[in-house]
Amino acid sequence: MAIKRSFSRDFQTPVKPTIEPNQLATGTALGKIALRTLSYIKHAQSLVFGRITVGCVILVVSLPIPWLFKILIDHGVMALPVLQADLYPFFMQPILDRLVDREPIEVVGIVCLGLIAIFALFGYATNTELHARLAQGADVATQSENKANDGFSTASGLVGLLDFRIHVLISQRITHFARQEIFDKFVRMPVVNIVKQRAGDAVFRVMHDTPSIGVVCMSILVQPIFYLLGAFLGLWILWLVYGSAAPELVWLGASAFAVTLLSTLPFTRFIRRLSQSSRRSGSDVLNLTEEGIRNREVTQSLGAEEKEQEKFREASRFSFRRSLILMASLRVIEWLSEHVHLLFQSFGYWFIFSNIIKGKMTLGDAPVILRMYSMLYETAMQLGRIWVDQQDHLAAAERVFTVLNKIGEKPETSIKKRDLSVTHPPLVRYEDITFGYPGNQPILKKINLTIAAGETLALVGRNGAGKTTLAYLLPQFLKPQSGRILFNDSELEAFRQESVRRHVTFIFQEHQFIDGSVRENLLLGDPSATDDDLVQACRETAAWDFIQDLPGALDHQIFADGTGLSVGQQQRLSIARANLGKSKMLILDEPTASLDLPTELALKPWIQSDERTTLIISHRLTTIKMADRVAFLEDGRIVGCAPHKELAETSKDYAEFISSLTSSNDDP
Amino acid sequence: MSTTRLKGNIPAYDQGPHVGGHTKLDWRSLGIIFLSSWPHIRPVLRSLLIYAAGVLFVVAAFAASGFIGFEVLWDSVAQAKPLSELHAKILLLSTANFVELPVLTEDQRYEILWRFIVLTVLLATALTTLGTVLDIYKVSILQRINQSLRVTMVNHMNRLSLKRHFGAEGDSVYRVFQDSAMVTAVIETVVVMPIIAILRAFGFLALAFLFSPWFAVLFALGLTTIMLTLTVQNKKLREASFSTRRVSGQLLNKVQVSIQGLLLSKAFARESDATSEFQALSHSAFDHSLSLRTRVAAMKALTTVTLAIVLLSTDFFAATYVFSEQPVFGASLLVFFGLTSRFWSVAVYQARRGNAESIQVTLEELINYWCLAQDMAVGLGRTWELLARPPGVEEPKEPKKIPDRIRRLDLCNINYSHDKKLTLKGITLRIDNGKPCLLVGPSGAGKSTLLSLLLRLEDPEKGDIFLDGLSLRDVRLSDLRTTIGIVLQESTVLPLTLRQNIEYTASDSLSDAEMERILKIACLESVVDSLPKGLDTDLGSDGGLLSTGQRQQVAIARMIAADPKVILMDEPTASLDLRTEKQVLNNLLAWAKEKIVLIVSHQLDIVQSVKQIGVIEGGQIIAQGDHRELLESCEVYCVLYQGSDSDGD
Repeated sequence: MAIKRSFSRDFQTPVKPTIEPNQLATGTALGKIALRTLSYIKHAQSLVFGRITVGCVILVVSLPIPWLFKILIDHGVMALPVLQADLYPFFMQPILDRLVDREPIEVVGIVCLGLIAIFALFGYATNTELHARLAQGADVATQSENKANDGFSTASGLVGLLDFRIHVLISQRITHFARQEIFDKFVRMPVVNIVKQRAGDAVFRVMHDTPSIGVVCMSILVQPIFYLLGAFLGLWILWLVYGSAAPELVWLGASAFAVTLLSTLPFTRFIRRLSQSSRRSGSDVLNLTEEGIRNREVTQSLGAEEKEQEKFREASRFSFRRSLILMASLRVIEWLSEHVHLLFQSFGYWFIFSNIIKGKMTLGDAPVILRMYSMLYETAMQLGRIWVDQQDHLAAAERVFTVLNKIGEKPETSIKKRDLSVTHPPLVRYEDITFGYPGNQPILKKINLTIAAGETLALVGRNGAGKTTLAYLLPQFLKPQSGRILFNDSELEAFRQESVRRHVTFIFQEHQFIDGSVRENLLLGDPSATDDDLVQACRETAAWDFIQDLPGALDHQIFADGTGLSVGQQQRLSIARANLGKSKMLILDEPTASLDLPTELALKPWIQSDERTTLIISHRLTTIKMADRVAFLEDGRIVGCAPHKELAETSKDYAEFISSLTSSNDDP
Repeated sequence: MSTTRLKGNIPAYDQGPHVGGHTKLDWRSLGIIFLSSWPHIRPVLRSLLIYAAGVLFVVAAFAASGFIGFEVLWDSVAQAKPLSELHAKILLLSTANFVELPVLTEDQRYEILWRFIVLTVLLATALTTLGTVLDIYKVSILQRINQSLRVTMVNHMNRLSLKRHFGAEGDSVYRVFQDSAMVTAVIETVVVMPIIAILRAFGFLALAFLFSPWFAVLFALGLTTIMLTLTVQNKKLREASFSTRRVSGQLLNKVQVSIQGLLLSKAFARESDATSEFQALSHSAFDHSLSLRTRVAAMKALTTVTLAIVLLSTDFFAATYVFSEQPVFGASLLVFFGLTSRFWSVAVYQARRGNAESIQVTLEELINYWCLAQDMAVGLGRTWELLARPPGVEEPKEPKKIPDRIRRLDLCNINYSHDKKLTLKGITLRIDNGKPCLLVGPSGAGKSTLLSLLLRLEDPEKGDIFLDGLSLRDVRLSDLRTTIGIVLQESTVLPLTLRQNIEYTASDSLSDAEMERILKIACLESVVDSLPKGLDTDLGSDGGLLSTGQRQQVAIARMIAADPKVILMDEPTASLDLRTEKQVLNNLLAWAKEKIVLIVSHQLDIVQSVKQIGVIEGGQIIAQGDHRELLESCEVYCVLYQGSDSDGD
């Protein structure tokens, strides 16, 4: 039940947060999360203050409403004269004074107009609910839209609208801050921690988990103020008015409040468990749908469609059964508390009408007291529910904090660093570089390597030898533990990271695109390039032929996952994009793995060009042979660095390694 | 700097085939929705009618108990007026002692009070219980509708072929979710619940009419005012809803793209751009949301206030009726609801108030449904479109059985276009059992398309494909896809254990010996050894633990486990190192001696072991033969194969 999961485990276990059972930790851990969540209120301080003020105004204005109804019945419909001895709270006195000696019909008219005025401004005040919750389905998208924007007010009318708007603004602002924070964190994630497959998880956390923080802030910090204040005011006024005439009514109200509140507690744990299991099976269904869509290749290609559909049907049925059980249990619990309320109400009826028979009270007191009781009952129910409702939101908040706790690349603030500027192919030198991933043995041990200006160097070695790691050090995706990297004899550390990355172009093994046209994807390499530049860059990298043939050519639509292009085409587009930057330092990670031989060969002049310094990682013999020199990496050390032929003759290990690469048609 | 450019690439809600656009929710489209949902409602119609009857009964019973209460408590208990005959009977009291008197004594009033309270408790218990049961019943009915809808949607989605349905993965998945979630919400919010609320509203309004026709007129007036405002506001509401959806779609897309493209923004040092674009979109999304939600809230507030004014006006008029002791308009009918007074009194006044409050609550509920429906209407077009969209390929009406042993596979003169461009032109190819065929050609020659036709993910425009003379169009899709197994270029690993992944499409679970054999063919033994829990390692979603090449090996193992009669492979080993690639291919060919095998590749390392090679270029098969023949006769083949000779070695 450990709630704090370590960074590495989190990223190695590719589980979507939706599948994650909402683990509930001990009270203290939850309390800590709640506290951290509440600290977000500082982003909307003045708004929260405004909301509390408006809320108090609403509470105060709503105080006379039940008494106005009493006047309507007693001095209006029943035509009783207004007397000093009537049971009214002090704040009604000024109004009553104005009604003395008036005709009943006048009283009715005045009170009705007064009520209309209050209603236009405040609605029924404290007895209404104004919110803009839009339809939500079982999906997280509509749910989180609602969480962030639905708003709430206990009043309606003009003031209610104002109150509602402030509520929406607060939750939006908090959500915005949380989103921005976690989004930044993801953007600054170190390269080695980026796992493409976890993108869905990250999006989920940014979009769907963050709104919960606002919800928690509002429901734990702001809403209870009004509930408690309302209950207190209600009981206080009951005491003021009926304390001497019929104290039993006040005690009844107070105990009704207490008993209702207590009666919600035994069920908290039960409801929480039910709602968790219901949610889990709900998200299971969603995951199945999503997987079903993602895996349609497998299912369609191997004829497992029916099996898949049956699985979905079952999961869906199961989830519905769960939610039905949850709903039924909630209704039964509600039924129970309705009966608690009924019991108190019955006693209330007995006391009220006994007093009316005795002549101590009038008919108008009945709706006043019953209304007060309902208000106390509702308030107690709401208060009892707050903590139960927060469990899921806190779990979501926790998922946000897990990410925020991680170490990211720090944005550089140091003014000492210079901007790197490279106009000629640089000479790059690794000096005594040692690097190991946290908690692991060093993967690179005292590496010394020089790449001459304008040279093309192939980095060769078995899987896991550390080739990519060595390459990552150049654009500062990783920082060496010891040793230094020199860029034209200046230390790389001295330059601003952003400027380094703008000058060192890295082509990743996994192709990355954005949803958009081929042109938009190319422009990422150089946003200021003209169409002519694009064509030129594509020609140089032998990509123009296929782009020309695409429907729409440069306007051809492709997608982030590469849909719209074949794997080989994706690779060629990545290369063309990198070429667009006209960078003088280029790093290619397996650039030719998916290319057919003619295409690979067509790239040869570009790869060999001495207009830039090129570091190329490859398994393809044809590509390796294009390089000026080959550096052979084994066990974290450079065991040889020479032109291919020479190295093959001098190094037995290398010769053995390349013989495993050599395929039949490569043999002379 | 790249902000403006990036804005254009968001295919959120206004591009692609998913455009729902502004669906106007007028009576006509309401009718369409009702008709479209009818097939899903029909199976539960009886239950729905029972539910509706139950709801009306509970509502009527509550109203009646309220009416009785006011008369008994307010007139008799509070003012010592004698009971009516009906009420005395209900309270099991004698007519002589409680009805035929001018005034009640104090003891009698206490007697009536406790009896009434006991009666109320019993009645309320019975009615809330019934109400609770009805609520649960309602949810179970709605669930049955939703289950039927959900299953239809998902089946439908599965049937839709890859090309037509999928452009962008993430976004479409999200939309399909939202849509399917919406459909279920639509039936509940636009069809079932409003109908029941309307029934209730009519019931309450009829009662109000019985108190005084003027009350019904007043409510009708209030309702008209609200409806007029709503009609005027509808368009703006829908526009706000549309733009909110668009912008939040953009925001989601931005987040998705940024996170999927993290490496890109690192490589090109664009982190701060991503952040500022995100900020701008986030602000804009929230602004749109706020204006939409304020609109909705404003309409609800307007409704509340208007109805409050109507309610207070009826208060005023009712008071004047009491003063002038007017007769109650529909007293003879109200008796059926337990109201016995023929003239206006304080009890009738209060009973009327209860009724008026119920009208108000029900109407507010209806207006809420209306706003929800307007918001949903924006997504509706797309939703129903998805349900109505025909699958890419059709099942045969009279399916035929695939023979147990297939001797040959024939492609006859096949034409196929993609995006209005002819990608396959007159392809004719024959593959015999036991004679594996290798199809080679430059990237983009149409090799993968050809494979998708063989699986009937698409159908060719012209020509046909035959298994032993049996057209693929005459075979059930599920039969076809169990007969043909395919290994794709980019392999999917399911978020299951390695063992489950391999067994996924097998008919039974595999014995240890079989599993061992399969692992050996796919050269997976060392991979299994390297995994923390061997075969039972959970590969998680997308198999992040495995390399691309290893994923391909898993896909190959899965195909072997399924043991199909026809095997298609699309660059099955492109990501493997050469030694493994060769080993796997040779193992596979040995295993598939008795099968029909078609391999598509641009890596020509296995040419010697394959007797039949087809060369495809520009969507046409330009040459066929074995390795030696092709070297002599086909220039394209020579370039593909001999490219390495020009390597200057």
